Amino acid sequence: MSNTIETRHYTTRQAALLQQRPSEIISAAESADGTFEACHPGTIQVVYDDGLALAINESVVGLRSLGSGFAKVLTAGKKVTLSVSWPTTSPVLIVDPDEFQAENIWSRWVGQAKEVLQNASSKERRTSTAAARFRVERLAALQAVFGFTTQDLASVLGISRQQLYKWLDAANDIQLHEASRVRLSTVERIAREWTLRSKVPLSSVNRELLIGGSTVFAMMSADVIDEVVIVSGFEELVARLQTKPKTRSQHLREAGFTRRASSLPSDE
Amino acid sequence: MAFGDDVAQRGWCTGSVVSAEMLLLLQPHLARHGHLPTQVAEDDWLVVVSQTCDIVAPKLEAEPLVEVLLCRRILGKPRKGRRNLESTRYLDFRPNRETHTEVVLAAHAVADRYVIPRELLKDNAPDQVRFLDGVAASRVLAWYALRAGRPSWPNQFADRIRSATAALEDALNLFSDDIAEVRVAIKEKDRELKDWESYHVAVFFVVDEDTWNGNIKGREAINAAFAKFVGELDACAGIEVNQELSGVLPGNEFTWQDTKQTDLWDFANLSYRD
Repeated sequence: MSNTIETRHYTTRQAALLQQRPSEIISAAESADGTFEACHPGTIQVVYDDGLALAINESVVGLRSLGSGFAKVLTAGKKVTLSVSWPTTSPVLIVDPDEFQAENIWSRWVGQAKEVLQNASSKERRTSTAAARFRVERLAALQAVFGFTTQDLASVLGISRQQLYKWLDAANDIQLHEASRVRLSTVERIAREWTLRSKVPLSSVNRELLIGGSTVFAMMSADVIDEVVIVSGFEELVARLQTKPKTRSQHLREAGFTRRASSLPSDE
Repeated sequence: MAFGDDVAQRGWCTGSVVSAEMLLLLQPHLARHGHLPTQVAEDDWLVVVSQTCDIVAPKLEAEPLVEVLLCRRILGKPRKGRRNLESTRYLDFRPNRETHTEVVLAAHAVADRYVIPRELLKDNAPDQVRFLDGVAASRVLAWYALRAGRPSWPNQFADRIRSATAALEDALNLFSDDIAEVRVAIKEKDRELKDWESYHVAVFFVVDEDTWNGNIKGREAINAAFAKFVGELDACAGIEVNQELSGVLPGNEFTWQDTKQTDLWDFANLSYRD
């Protein structure tokens, strides 16, 4: 953004610009009114109410001080222009209007608007590669089968939680190390084996002690994953699932206390 | 016979539409202070939006007025950002999918809302051809309820995620809202922060228990949506998602306490509060 134009909140201004058509921004530039000169250094303050800028600090000749709104530090002799016709209802303070007027207002505003709009559009389009999207899909599929917490999934994949956050963000085009790729594939095979046996997330039973004295989670988090041993423990876990007590909501549903009909159908 | 019974016998209820013949009677009431009465075009629907129990209240003194909403016909489909309660100010909706399949109406929650004397309903019947179907009537009431009951998120918060709104909407479109609900906890609550301060947010995708236990494809879609949603939100300047606390979890584990500490994610909450 230009350093000659300030608003009450930078981000409000930014958001306001995003909502305007360039032609409206240009129109706003044309309607700047009132040029004043600061008589000594100080802070300029403006409050805005009912469509009017009500106050400005006495450090600016010709205006009175009524309160606070947004502030801008001034130096003596600095000229400012106050525009109150900004279409977003926020007053705009243009410092050094001489310089401002000297340039072509139109091209200046168009340039600024273009810059902000381009920034906005690039923000909207956080790009992702097909490989990154595929990576996130694989992780989502794993989470669907396991239902693990982020920490647990990170442990199973042999990475830190922070690394997993990056893996889960499709905008991060990261290359997985060979060891990570192999581990991910192994975990996916285990996930497939579990889905053949149950639709319930593995997290429901993954910390139950197996006959061998270990848990599936411990085995899956080990440095070296023994697929055969893990999968062989699945039958035992499936049996445990059958004996798990029902939840209150399951009891309610069985007694006929079901959910209300879903939300209103889409009106598209 | 009680006053309300007369009104009920005429057929008035939530979603009734004022007939063209009755418009002349109402015209003086469709005015803002200091302005000429609002003109109702032939295509407009003047819809009664008070609740039926108020419309047919036995005594006139108990409910002397009813609220009506002037809905204007628009071409095309309900517009993105205004349909499906996406805005608390504007609503585009289909009034009746059986009798008026092609009609789409638009209204502003405040500017198009008027009150008229209930006594006028006693001697006049509503439009017999045009009326809101059950879904449309529920939608209008839900719209007003949303406006009154939504949490008011800070303007600064709304500003900071505005550029990501489309991407966040895309993420939520990956699954049906029947199977999961998005809830967010905002540490700073309603505070407007300085530019250099960040909002700290925890995000929860709460999954229907049946889906959690039996629908792997559904869970897959929800987890994909969660990853995208959190990624987009965390990328917003001035928003920090606490990913350690955030997560996808079954509804039977998300407690009443958790509900109290979170808000339902709704794009309508992002409209400016002043």
